Amino acid sequence: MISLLIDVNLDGQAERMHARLQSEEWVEYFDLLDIHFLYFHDVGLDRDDPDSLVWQQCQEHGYWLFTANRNQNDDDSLESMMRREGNEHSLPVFTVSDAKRMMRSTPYLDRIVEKLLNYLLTAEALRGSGRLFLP
Amino acid sequence: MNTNKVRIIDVGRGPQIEGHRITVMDVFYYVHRDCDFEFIQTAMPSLKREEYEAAMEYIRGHYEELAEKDEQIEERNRRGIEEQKAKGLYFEIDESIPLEQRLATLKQKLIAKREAEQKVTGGDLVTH
Repeated sequence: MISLLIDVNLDGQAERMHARLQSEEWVEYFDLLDIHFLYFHDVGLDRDDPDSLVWQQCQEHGYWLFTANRNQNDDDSLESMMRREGNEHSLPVFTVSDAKRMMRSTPYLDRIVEKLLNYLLTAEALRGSGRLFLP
Repeated sequence: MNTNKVRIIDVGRGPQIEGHRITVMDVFYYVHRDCDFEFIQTAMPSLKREEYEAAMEYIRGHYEELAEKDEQIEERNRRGIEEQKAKGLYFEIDESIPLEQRLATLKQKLIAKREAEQKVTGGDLVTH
């Protein structure tokens, strides 16, 4: 089972991707990988929890964070956490580079889905990779 | 107007909406690309109107500075992708191969992965 934890800045994109993965075109692949979408409320996180806590939850519970990357690299940013706390065992963070396009374009969404599935095929080998950009 | 009820604060991630992880840069990304509140709320459903208004007030007072930061973020993402490629961690979609063929390969790999997992756990594999 693979658990994707959806950051609050990508809730809409994740809902769209989840629906797409359950469509006739993709559902078989979705089922084979046994992907679960988790939102903050599912795992006891609040919408204002800091990056440090989100990162910690992901590493402790094996969640693959799915986020945008529009914050500054200040002290409590996810980027800083990854640099400070990340090691070769850390789960990477999926980062969507064009969140607007993901909402508007189905071909673009399909590229993200195809890449995501290919990454998750070799999930364990990706530990320690830091950010993985989609698509 | 009740925008004063929601403050913009900085807790080490750049300006963000008080009581929310969503940052001004998250909102600015859409505003700078001509998206309205309805679109932004579809993308970030937990963003309330008054929180959006507070972010907009900040944006109006700092537009040029935020536009510069937005470009820096785009550049950082481009750099990140290049670094990912350099490490051999970037999965490239090979457009020269038809989608059907790429998906058939993907399916084979997924089935093989699932079968390997089933061997460990002792379950049956069911495909559509």
